[in-house]
Amino acid sequence: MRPQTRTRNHRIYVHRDRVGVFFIGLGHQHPGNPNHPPEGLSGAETSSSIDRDKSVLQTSFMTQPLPALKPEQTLLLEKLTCDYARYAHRCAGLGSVLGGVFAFLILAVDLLGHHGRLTILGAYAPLPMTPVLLLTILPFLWLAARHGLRVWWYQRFGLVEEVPADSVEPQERRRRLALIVVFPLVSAAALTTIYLNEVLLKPLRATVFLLLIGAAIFALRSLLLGRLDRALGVLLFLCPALLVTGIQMAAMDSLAALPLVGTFAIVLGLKEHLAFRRLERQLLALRSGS
Amino acid sequence: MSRQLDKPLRTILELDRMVHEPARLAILTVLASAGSVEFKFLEMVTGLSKGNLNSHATKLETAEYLEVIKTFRGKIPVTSFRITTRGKQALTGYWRQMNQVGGKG
Repeated sequence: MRPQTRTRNHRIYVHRDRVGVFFIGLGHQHPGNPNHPPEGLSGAETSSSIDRDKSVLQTSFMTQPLPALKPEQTLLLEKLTCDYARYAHRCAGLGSVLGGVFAFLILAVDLLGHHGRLTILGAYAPLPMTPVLLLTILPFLWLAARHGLRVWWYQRFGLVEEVPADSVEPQERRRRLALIVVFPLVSAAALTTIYLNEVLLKPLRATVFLLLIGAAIFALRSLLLGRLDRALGVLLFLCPALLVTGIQMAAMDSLAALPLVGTFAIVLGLKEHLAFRRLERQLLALRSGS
Repeated sequence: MSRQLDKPLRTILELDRMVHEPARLAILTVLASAGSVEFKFLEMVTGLSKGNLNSHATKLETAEYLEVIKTFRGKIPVTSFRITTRGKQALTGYWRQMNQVGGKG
């Protein structure tokens, strides 16, 4: 540490980690103003005391540099950042809970629309227009709510994106592809069923069907990156799409899948949310310096 | 004996000062753990003031250890940072050197 500049009552030092000002005087630095001479002494008195006694009587830092970072502190920073970044896309927390609730809601609309009657899977039993519109809105409402929660709650300390993977693993790529391929296949099956039932699909219903399928493919490709989100995305878009066409879903598969995935999403979402609350407390503690 | 001492000493002297400074080390550590990080988050986790953070970020940008991304969210300007390959290498090299000094390397 070597003095660079010396003035009447302070010296500026350049150190490896900091640029600090050492105050040379008899008292402590002024609490309100670090550049103020020590309490009870004017600048002239301070310098005269230095003149009387050429030695440095007391030094105090005027800057508060960060202490050196220990490896465990950097590990904590890494961990907190990684955990927080997960909530940018992969973890939805309350968004998943909402998805789970919507899965139950779709099932309820389906059952109520058919007055609680269960028909064979694939049978043609069109729903009235009101449930159809409700079913069309639900998946989009879920996507919007999920996005809102991410922006206003889970990323409110600033957006942190996860480290992009250098390359997508082949297994993951196959899984993504399979999910996207499911939609055209199911669409083809649905249209075949309608054709076999010798029914002409109304233009509005056909448009809504295509809209839901297209939105699902887009959402699965770019918005829903977590596994739970994808499962929810498939169900929340595919079930309403089929129901809109008039294909009966209240059969064994959807009766089992919707509550199963819904319950799973609610439990996992709550778990993620509680984990975020813990992370939030850690981040706030970090900000307050404790 | 003196030769044994020489190596850690030389390693200390060769430390990258740009990375060794605690505030900049904290910034690089956070950036290395994420793809891109907004100014607001960095400010919170490092505990630095806006001015200090800006100053350190500028130094790191000059050294090409990070890149600054300026975007708009609606009408609000948003500043984000992303660590560069050079920054990642510098951080890895720094910890390698620190481990050597600590006798772990």
